[in-house]
Amino acid sequence: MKLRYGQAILLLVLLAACGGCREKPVPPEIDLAWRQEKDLRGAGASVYAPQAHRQYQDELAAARVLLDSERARFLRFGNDDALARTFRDVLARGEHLAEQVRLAREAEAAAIVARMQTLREQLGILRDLSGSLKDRRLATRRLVQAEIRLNEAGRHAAAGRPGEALDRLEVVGEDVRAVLASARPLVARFADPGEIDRWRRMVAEAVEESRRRGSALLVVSKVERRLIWYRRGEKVSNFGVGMGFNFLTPKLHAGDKATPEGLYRVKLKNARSKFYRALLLDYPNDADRRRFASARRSGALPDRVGIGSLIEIHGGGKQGMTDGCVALDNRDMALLFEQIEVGTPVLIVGTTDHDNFISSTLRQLP
Amino acid sequence: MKRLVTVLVGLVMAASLVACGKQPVEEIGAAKAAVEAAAGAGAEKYVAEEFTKVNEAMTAAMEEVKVQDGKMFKNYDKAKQMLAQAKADAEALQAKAAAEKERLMNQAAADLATAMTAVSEALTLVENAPKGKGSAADIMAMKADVAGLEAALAEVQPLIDGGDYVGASEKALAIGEKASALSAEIKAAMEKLAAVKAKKK
Repeated sequence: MKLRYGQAILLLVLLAACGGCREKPVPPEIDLAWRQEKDLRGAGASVYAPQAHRQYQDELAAARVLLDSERARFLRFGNDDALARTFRDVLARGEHLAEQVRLAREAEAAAIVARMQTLREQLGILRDLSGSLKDRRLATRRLVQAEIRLNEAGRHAAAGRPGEALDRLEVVGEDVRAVLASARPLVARFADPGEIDRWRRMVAEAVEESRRRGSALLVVSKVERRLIWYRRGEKVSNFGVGMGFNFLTPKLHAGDKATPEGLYRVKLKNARSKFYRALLLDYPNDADRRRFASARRSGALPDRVGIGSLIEIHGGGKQGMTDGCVALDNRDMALLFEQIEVGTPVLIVGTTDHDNFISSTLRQLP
Repeated sequence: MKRLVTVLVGLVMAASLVACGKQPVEEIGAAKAAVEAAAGAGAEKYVAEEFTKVNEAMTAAMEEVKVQDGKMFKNYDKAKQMLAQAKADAEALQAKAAAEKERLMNQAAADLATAMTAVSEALTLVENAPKGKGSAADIMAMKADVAGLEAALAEVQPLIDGGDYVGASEKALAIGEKASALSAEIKAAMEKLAAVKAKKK
């Protein structure tokens, strides 16, 4: 009997030793859960659904503890239903989390596309503003830098690097704001209803004067880049014009390459201009002199700079950029030169249209 | 006979506990060192996906060690196997990370060179664009564009120096595209101008 008892112990120990080396296989849900955990990590669950991911991790950790305690048992007979059920619950929560992550990623991708589209439109508008107004100060290198960054953002987004794409888009947004901040002071008054009303009154008065006197009148509208020719208060014709490199601001001093604003008169006709034909204006007028003196007193002018002169309406082409003059195509200039007499009033205003290109453009920008 | 049985039982028990039961300290150390070496070679940055896999394999191996630690009859065979695999993968990754780093660096340098050529061509075209009152505004705008391209170009080398080769490549490619578009625009304008001149003659 004692010998049998010893044999039984030996058998038990042998069984245990072999059992220790060969574990009972775990339920298939466990491997699936490990795979799911990897997939969720790879999909960025901790970033896209942090709270749900924390809850999932807690549940997974608890299941892992249960598994470890099961595996650490001396002998694992019996069924693994409880373990399988626990991991099935984890898998279910993981599937829910995966769906949350998928939706969050889709939302992020859509947000990137929308942001890119908005910024592309804003850059396009700024590019048009610069291209149409042809003022040197609007042609900024930051615009092209922003376009390059937008292209980079698109590349990162396409390569599945949304973080990098968003970083670039953030900088593009700053670029747009910076370009706009430098452009707005130059163009804001052309969208100011009060200022436009003032220009409209000036034009209306000048046209009325032309009608009353039966004389000619030339009106230059800066935003539209047009010269409108009136006779006896009626429009005769209108021409496209080029203006100064810095035409958006009214001329203040010599060399500022700005086109003056206000009421002038043709002082002299020059048939031998180097720009085909020219009508010399009587710039500076009294208002110009007052502004110049005020700027001088406030120290806003460079040292030894004069008020400037020789502002003309001349030929040379409407595509030209001048030092402040108004340039027409030679064919239009020939017609004007023939018909316009010395003493003809020339009114230069910003615009008379409340819904002009600049105001409609500014409405589209942040 | 009773004594013999007791001795046998003792021997089997000792064998079962000792043969499979010693924690693989050396293997753990070697695998950890290999993973650290891979990280040091930039695996996390340059072969991120594979590095994550190696880390996961290492974590799984350590989990296995932990499970066996808690058992009465410990068997670390599976853990050893897993550690050996993690070590081998990490060692392979070390070389792969270095090679990938080198490849990305060379690619970034090549992309920068291409972008520089494109910007240089655009600059030459702007400088040689027909000057006249009619083209002044366009030339002014193009000069601003070239200045922007040059400023963007200056941002590429610091990215390469900082090890952000992918970022450097993407920026260089974007610059190259913009420069090529500008060159095409200038060429088209020049051709248009030449056609107008030819018509006038």
